[in-house]
Amino acid sequence: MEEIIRVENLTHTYGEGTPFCRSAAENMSLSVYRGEFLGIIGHTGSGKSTMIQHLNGLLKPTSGHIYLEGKDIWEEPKKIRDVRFRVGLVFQYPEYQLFEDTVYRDIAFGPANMGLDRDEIDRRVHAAARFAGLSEEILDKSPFALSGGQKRRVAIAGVIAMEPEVLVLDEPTAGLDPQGRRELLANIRQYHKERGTTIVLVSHSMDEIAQNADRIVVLSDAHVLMSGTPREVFSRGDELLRAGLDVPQITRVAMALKARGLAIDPAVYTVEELSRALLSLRKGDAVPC
Amino acid sequence: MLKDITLGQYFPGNTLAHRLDPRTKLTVTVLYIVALFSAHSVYAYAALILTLLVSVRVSRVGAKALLRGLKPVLFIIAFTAILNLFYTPGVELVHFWIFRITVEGVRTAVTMMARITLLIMGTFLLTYTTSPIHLTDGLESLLGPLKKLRLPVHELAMMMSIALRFIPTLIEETDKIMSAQKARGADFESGSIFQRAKALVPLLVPLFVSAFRRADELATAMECRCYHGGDGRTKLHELHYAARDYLVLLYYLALAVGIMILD
Amino acid sequence: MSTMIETKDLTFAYPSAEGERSTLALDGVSLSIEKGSFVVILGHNGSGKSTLAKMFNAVLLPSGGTVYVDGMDTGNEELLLEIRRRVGMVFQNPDNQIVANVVEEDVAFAPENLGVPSAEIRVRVDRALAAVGMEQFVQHAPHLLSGGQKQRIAIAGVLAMKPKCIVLDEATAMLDPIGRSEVLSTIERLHKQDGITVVLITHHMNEAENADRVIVMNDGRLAMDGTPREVFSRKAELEKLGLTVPDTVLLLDSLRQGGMDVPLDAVTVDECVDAIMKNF
Repeated sequence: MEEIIRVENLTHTYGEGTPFCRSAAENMSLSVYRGEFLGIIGHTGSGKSTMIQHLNGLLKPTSGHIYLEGKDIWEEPKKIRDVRFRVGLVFQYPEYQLFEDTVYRDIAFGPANMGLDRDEIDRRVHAAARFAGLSEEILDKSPFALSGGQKRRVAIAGVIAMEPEVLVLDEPTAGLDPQGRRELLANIRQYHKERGTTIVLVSHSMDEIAQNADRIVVLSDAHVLMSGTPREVFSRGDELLRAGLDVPQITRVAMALKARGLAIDPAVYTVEELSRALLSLRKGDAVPC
Repeated sequence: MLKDITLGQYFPGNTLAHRLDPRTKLTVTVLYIVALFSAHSVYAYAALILTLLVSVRVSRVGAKALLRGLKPVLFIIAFTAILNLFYTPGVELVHFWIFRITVEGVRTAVTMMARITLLIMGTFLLTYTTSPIHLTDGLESLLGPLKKLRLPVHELAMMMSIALRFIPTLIEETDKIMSAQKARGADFESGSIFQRAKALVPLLVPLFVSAFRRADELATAMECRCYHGGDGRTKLHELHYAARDYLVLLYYLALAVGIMILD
Repeated sequence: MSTMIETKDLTFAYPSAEGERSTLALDGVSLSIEKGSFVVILGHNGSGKSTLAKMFNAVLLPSGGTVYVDGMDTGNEELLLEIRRRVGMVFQNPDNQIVANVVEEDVAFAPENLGVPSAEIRVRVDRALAAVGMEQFVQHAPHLLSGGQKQRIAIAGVLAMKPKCIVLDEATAMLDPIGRSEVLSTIERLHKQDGITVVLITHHMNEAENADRVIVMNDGRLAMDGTPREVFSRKAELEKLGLTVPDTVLLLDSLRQGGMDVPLDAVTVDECVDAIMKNF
């Protein structure tokens, strides 16, 4: 797999030289591969927000390096804006950043800043709106007249319209109801599939990450705690729980069944897998311990 | 980063200066300013400087912090001093080219410098030793009699304390919106003044929208907690004058009246 | 058991823009909530659940029908303070309900408004902070606390009114899992130890696990009403209402279809494991 972003020994210290000095990232190293759907998990204060703001150069490392396609993004500080167009970042509760009088103009803000011509901007606005699940007639409305869920989609479309190579989303489903959450994630998966854009999804919901990501990076206490496929990560369920993190509900059931003596792989994390394993175990009439 | 700005000038502590009733401190500051503007003689200034030094000593506020407060107004002090130095008519002291310095000029320049410096240090001492909440409480209580003139004293005090409460929240929010717009390629740092002003629109619009939303939600939350204006309200910390308050008040009153009459 | 909150044929329409037809946010809701119960109200966004909650302490007044709080009609303006004192409300955004910039001053806000003498306020503030496990933060600045801590301060602020009932209007929606469990365990403790009536409005299904009763709202009406077991076993209906059932219920459903003898109404992980183990 080809590396698109590499974070090398990233350390970030806030308020250096003051009594409030604290490290939000300490010696973090991780890679993002081209075309993958990466999940980053960690609770508040684990350093995930700090880390992702380094990926597009909004924050500058106290020490360490961020490489985008092999090139240190801070090699030419004047070109940092280009990095921001290539690594799109959607913040938490992004609907609060809307400001234009129409949805169309708000989505066009990013592409316009890139200096694209009108036709290209127009193409991108329409394409981005479609990916974000927004209908055409919404484009002429004021973003402030929309529902919370729709506002969120407009804000996400505003970043997608820059057509970044990597799309980073910080808690995109926070505060949405189950249906809104499911639909938004389906849109993101669809976008990933159609465009092949690399996706980095930051979340504190294990279930959400488990259902979407190819690979998971777990952050804890400003460090990278572990990384790997969902199965690899959830097989270390005890460690995750010790670090104060959750495991998917199904993994919890599997871990408890294993503890009660059933021959179940405690790393399963989908309903289908566990159900299949249990049913075949019964058909085989395995003798319980 | 905006977050790094230290807000409020308050240095927590438990000295006599901190424990004084905020009303005492407010009154005393006003008395000190009155005395300051009535003072002419060297003796009066000596008394004023000595008073401030003792107060600073008692409050245990570092000299550094106090001097730091002067920094932003240094230019104004220097400017007034120079203006007075050169443009006061009187007995000539030095004369070169078109500049004339007079004895009176030197005198006024020094007096003005001393006045502004003492004034600023005095008021800073107040904010350094009094938390914003106590300051607001003190003001509300001192201005209480104005309620009879239908002045919304309680409402003003409540607005002040809510503003103080929300400053850090709004600063954090400004930071966040700025980062979010930068992530979409917004540029707040370069271009002409006009371009920069225009670049602020994507920051200010969301900030206002959010401030109104917050105000709305806060109003509901306050009503849910039985807020219905200042009538019949009590306080967790009632203000009480203690013996030390009377002593301090008496001293400053004597200082102000003394200087007004004798000087 | 007597009734804490009772609504009769409650309807409500938000004022609509000119030319637009106003839709009913609440459409004939009649329900009663018993004193000392723990009720969870579920529903997707726009189902009317938050509007209903705001009726419980007269933040909104009915367009039609009546609401009684501890026997008092919320339409009677003279009873307003007494109603709000008895039914405390905690909202979604922790930042927008904290009034003061010191924790103890914020908790004192409601009793100050009620004209409680200072000595008594001190006692109430200290008790309320102890009840939510925040006693070591008395002098802290609220904006430096975590989301879960801020919501616990908001709960303490409500407790200082000595309420009979606490309504949490999506109070966990903006919190991370740690903050959410902090708030939930605090609320469960208050319910068990002090017998406070709890109405929890949420769209997180697993927060309903330990409730006495689950009410599902849809289109301004009551769609379901029962124990968590009863409600969660109606999987298909819930999904139609835009809600998800806990993964444990999905697992049991799938096992049943595979021919295993398990009940559908095991809601918690432990219940689910117990039910499965009976087959081995």
